[in-house]
Amino acid sequence: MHYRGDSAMALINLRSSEDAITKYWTMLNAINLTLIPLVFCVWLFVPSLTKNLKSTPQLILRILSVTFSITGSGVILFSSNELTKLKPKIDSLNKRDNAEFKHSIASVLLEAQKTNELTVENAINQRRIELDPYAFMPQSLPDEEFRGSVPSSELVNDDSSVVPNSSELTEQSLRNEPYFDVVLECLEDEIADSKIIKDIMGFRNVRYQEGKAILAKIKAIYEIESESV
Amino acid sequence: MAGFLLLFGSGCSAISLMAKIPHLRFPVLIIGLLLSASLGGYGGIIYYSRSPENQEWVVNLGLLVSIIVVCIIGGIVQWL
Repeated sequence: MHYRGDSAMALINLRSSEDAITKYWTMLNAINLTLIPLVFCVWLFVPSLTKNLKSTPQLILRILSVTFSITGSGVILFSSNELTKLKPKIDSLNKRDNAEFKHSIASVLLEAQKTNELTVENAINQRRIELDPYAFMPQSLPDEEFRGSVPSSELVNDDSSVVPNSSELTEQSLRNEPYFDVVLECLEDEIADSKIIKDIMGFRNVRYQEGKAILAKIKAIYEIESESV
Repeated sequence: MAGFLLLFGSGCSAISLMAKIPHLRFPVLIIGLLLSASLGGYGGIIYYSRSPENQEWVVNLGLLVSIIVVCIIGGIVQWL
């Protein structure tokens, strides 16, 4: 068997040469496993069965058994030699197959893990949307055109505290707001109203109108203070 | 290893079978004497050229003893 084969064909189709090596290895092992017990039994037991050498068939059988033992042991020796030469190749092929198997298992496990993480994240986001539907509105919506159906008095912010209605805000409550001083500084720097409402005060989308009303009140306070100065 | 030992055993069986032919007994005796002398000499070489550091000579001596045993069995089997 020419398992070395044509080198060009071996380069084109490496898999076939590996299959040939594996088949050759299997064949040699089969020959060894078959011949060793057969030769041993023939060499050891046929002489006891052919004791009468004056009988021609028994003599022929005895001679054939010795010839078969010599030939069989020569074949066993040759195949053992070939198996010893093939062993490093077979070991490397097995090692590669084991590594590929482990890699495929690891890939499947990693994919399953990522799927689970995404499922959990999706479930958490869904729950957040159920609790606060307006927190995940897309920023690209034009704020002035959006009209929510939820009254502003029923809106809940992240601190789970009720945002006061703009009509109920007094000057003192406005001054207590965390963004009050920052808004005053922005008004001094003449920053655009929409930017103050959206970025500084945090009133986006459906709450934009409310933020606008609050900014108007803050502007009124600012003008009063700047006039007094 | 099995093929190597079987080759020696079957070779000795063939030589022993040749001794069944009366006018081949003397050549077979000479062959037997030469074989036993060479195996014994090889055993002596292994033993006296051993190095105390490694134990490889034990493996070689074991191999030689197994060859001798197989040759004896191969020779006796043809005469039982």
